Amino acid sequence: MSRTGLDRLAALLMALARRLAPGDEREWLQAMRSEMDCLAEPRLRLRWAAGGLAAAARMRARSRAARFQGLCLAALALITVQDWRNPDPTATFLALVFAPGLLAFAEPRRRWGIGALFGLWLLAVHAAADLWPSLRPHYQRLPLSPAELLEIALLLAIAVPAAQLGALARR
Amino acid sequence: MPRKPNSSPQTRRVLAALAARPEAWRHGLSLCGETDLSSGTLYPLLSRLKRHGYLESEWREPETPGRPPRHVYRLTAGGRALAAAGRESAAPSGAESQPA
Repeated sequence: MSRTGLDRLAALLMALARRLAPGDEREWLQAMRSEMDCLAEPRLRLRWAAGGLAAAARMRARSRAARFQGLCLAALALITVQDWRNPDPTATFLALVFAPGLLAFAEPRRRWGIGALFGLWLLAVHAAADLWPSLRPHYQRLPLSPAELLEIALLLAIAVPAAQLGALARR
Repeated sequence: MPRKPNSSPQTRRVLAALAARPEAWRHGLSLCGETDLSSGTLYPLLSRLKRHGYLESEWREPETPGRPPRHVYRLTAGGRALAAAGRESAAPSGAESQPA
């Protein structure tokens, strides 16, 4: 790759790193960008920029917001697996009360987002699985009817109040 | 329980490099060279040390015109104490009783 190409790639990596880093850590990425300009060789600048991306990923991984997002994703994954394996909806309903409730208790300011995410999640994954029959749960071999889709959408009526209650309990 | 900020060997290397010239302001590039750490390892460590109050930083105008300002670092008093504590814990037991 040419000298200009390497420098463009390095600048692109640093720009990505800056976007990836949490807001309160961006000054460090700016510092890394300044140091990169002091390196003489384009290959060294590219290596430095790759380090910038790694640094941003580390900073993000240890930020509170990222850990919370990871927790939400883990809860959604568990609910999905449980729902796919078990035709009895009771456990899913309970999970859709407790998971958003606990998460909104931890982050009350995000209660609306948490409620909407958990309420609409199963609708989204069931609708997506409906496009590929092999992905459908074993208890549901036929395409979902509009009535069934509406039934899944009503989970919103469980998750949103559960998140509100979780946030309320925090006050 | 939060991890001790000087618990990793990489952090101890950074602290030792900064403590070698405690009054001097240092650039990230020179610290990378002295500690043999990659930029992706060094900067998260510096950020953590600053967050815990062991490091101070400031922006300095560059020596060469046309270059962006550079970020420089040095240990605070607490950082120097932490570096000294790290040196003591890393020293083999009984080293102090060895004859000079």
